Amino acid sequence: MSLIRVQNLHKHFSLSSGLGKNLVVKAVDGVSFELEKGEVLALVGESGCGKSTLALTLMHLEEASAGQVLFNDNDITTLKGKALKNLRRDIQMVFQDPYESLNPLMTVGAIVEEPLKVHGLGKSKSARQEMVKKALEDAGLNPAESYLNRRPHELSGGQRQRVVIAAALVLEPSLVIADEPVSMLDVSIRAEVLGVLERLKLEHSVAMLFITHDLGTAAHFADRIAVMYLGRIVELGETQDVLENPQHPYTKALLSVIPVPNPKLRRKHIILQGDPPNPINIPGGCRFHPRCPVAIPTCSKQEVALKHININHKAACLLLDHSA
Amino acid sequence: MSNKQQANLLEVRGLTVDYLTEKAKARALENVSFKVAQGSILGIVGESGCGKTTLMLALLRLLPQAGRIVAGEVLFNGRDLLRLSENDMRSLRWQDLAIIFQGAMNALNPVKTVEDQITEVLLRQNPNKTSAAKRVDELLEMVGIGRNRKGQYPHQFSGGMRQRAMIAMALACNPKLVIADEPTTALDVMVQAQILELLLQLRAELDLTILLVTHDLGVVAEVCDTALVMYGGVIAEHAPIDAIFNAPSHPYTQALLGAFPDHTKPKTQLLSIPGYPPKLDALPPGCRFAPRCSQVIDICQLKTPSLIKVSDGFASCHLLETL
Repeated sequence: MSLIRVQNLHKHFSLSSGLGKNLVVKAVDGVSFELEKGEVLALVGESGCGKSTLALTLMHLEEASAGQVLFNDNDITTLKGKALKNLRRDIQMVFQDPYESLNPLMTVGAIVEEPLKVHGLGKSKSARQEMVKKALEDAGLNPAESYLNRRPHELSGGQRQRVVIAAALVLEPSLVIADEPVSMLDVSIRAEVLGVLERLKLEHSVAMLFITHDLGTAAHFADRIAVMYLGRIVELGETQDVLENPQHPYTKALLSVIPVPNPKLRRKHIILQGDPPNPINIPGGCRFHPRCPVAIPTCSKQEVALKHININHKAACLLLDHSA
Repeated sequence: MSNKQQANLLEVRGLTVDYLTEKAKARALENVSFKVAQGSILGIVGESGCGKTTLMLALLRLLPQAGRIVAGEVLFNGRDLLRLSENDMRSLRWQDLAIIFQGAMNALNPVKTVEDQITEVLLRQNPNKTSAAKRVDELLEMVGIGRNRKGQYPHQFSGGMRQRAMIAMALACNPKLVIADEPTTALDVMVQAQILELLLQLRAELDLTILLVTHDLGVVAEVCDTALVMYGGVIAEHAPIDAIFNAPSHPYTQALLGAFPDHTKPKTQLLSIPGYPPKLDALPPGCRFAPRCSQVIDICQLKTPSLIKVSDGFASCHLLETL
């Protein structure tokens, strides 16, 4: 049984142009995937591809326009009230910017304790304190006592992000959605925060949806990688498979332009020109065809769905049929 | 001028910069010395707060008010920029040295069209409006912006286009040296690749010398010829990039590489560097990296290492002295 199963999820926003014409932004436009207990799935794509909207929709911070999200086999797309609150205990989020996501007036102890209060957990103040300390230590802030009374401005970026992680952990979630959790941090600290997330996965079997624009980080951290383009997943597979044997032309291009810290490996870059198109105006046929270096005439006419390359590896490209 | 390739366009000697705060002074750069060959790209790397931006601003004499250059020389084509009058320096900026600022989102004027902003730079050097208009078209074509977009405002441009506009502006007066401060940091990988390709192409066409300030080691490996690794306001290592990436001498360079994700080696463990970079107003005695260094020896905490010649470049580490 999958921990979370997303089926054909859509999130459309309507924009009123003021001229009576309604425009629709198709931020998430038919996304399906599954995530097992304790598994890390990296969701990779450029700005505007819909990865953050997808996260917010899973968290119910945005209401899905269509499609289903099954969590432990229960449909959570339409949850309300108490049931929704309970769900949010099980799914926690870690946001990108630890400078923005912590209340500057609260102490670290109060920040990490707050989720417990919201959910009515911990019998007494002292019981909650113990839980807070454990969460801080699990997030790599040792000794926890020395952090309890500090405020965010006294902490470095890496420490702040660990406080954010502790506040998510304290509820013992089974799924953490991490939206670019390390992209604001310096390299030397990035590895440390990734290490904390990795321990969560190994020691607490927390599953993670790891949203990033950085395939390099995804390569080191994720079990599987999903590549998103304009609201859809265009390739999904085990990390090594996707890296060594990318199938979709977009994945191939992305991989070719990630800077590699080895001057002997200066490769031929597949540089896509222009910017990703606007999700208001999604091209017909394969949505990648206007930027695709290997597109054929059919690509602009025919929609294309994910097809299996092997049991764990799927991609959505018409050319796969031709080469197979 | 037969050996133009080997000539150094820029030579920095013993550059030292302090920031004065109410209580104390913080030494942001200490004794920084390096040379940059004409036509080459030097990558300046290090974590936040290591002095990259200060170095760049000091070269241009654009330090904020609290900043003071307390020692050193900045020789540009043999002339010491630090001795020039403010007026002479002003005429050198744009014409000989130009800068591409970090965050194209913020560095452009939101209420002026892109064309007007580039024209403004040109008119400062030559008040002929016709030749300026012609030059704007030329510049925009050079950086790949369609002529039909020149009358637009920065908010109508995407991030990548704004960065291209910034590059066009920097190149307006045919500078010899371009300093690019994190030119691709806020951009997506694909747009980053476009911009880096553009810089390489411009370097080849215009024989530009580029100082590329970045925290991304991958970018350095992709485009630079040599790299300067900075730590806590001093140079840790300065070497050709082959040496930096394949045979790094300084423990800090080694540690940075170990922490950097490389998707071609997904199974290697990323190693963090314990601790944090030093605060400039509370520098540790001896080597500034010593508190975080895994190979630290006694002398490191007592004596500041000096920059010494190692096989392919320079590094400042006591371990290399004892060899």
